[in-house]
Amino acid sequence: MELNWTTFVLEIINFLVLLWILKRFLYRPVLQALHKRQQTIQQQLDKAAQLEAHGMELEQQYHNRMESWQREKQQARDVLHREIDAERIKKLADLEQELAGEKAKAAVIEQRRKAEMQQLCQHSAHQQGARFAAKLLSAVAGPEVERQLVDFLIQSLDQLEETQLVELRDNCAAAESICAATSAFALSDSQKQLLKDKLQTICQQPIQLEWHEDLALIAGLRLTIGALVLQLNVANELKGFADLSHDHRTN
Amino acid sequence: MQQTSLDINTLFALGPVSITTTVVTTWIILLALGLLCWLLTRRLADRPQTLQTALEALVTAIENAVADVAPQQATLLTPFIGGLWIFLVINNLSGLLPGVHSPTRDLSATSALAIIVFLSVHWYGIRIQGLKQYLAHYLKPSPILLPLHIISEITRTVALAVRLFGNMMSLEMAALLVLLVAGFLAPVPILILHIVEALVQAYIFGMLALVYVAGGIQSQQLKQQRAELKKE
Repeated sequence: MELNWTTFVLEIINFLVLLWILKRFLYRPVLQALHKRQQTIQQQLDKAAQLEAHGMELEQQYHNRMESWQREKQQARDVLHREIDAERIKKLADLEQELAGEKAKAAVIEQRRKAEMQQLCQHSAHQQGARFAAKLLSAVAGPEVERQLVDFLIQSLDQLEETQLVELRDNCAAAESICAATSAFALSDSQKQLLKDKLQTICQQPIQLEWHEDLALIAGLRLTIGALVLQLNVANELKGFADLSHDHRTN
Repeated sequence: MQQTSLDINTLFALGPVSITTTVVTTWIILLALGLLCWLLTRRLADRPQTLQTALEALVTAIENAVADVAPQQATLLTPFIGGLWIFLVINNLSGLLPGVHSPTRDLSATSALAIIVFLSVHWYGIRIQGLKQYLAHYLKPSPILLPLHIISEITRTVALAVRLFGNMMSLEMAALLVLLVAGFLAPVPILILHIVEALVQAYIFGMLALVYVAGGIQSQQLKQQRAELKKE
């Protein structure tokens, strides 16, 4: 345990050399690396802070925009609801109106159908009545009925109006005074002469009558003067009766 | 070099300069430390691997320990205090190697370190405060205390040197005695105690040096702050 001055001095020098070595090869590079990393981390932190601030700003903008969109959406929804309500009311009104129209149309159709059915029934009844009357009259009609009908015709000719008389005369002239008289039964000579005289009086010209017989007339007479045909017979009356119901139905 | 001897042997002499085992061991440690530091720090990456992380952790731990005592002078004092810790730890633990004696069991080496600490206290104090103001603090609070200040400076320096020397010397002696008396495996607990003691003594030496240096600097700074407060 003695102090060696050479060792003492050399140890001092050694320690100073050690300090230089450590400072040169340990502290400086390590601290520089740490400082560089701290700077990098600080830059990243600053960048992250900027990004966070930017993100917060964007988030705020997003929230504001979302709120604005919500308000606009609510307004649009309210408008849409109002429009839907108005459209529904309008559609309901139109539907009710259309329904009323359809009801009226259905009522008209039903009424028409009933009327047609009624007319059909009437026509059928007329037809049946005409057939019944024709069968009945065919059974009971005879020369006596025909004679009465001819007499009635002669009397009716006196009651023609002036226009009818003019038309009768014109047709007679056009037929060159040749007329045809068709009866179901043969007429008596007196009736033939009486009818001829009457026609000549009315037409104011001599007339040549051609006599025919047709049982289809049942009873009565048919006068053909040119284009004019005067009917006073049972068959024609029955036909007119039946046609009357048909004309009425078609009208 | 005899393994059973506790004396400091002289390996060779260059004229009047005798080179002892302590000096040679210290050179080897310096060489190994320099090579190791160069290898570890030549390729420092931004993304550190295990070794770099450990190295950075060591430097950061030293800096934090210094900053705990002297926060304002941490950057200035870290190389010196860190150098003391690293040097003493390796020096103390080198005694565990077969055929190698710890340089710190040599009073010349521990005295050299103690003198360095003594000079460093004044160097840092004068560097920061200036020579006049630094010397003035020996006269405060009263010039009567100047002898006590001087005695304190000398005794704590001697205590630094003797404490480290005594502990390391006694450890090696105890290990040698146990080995001579008990046999081959009996010194193992003593060797474990050697490791702990080596770390503790290195820490104590470095921490005391830090406290001495920081105490001188901060006492001056406290007085300056008080004076500035009075002026305001």
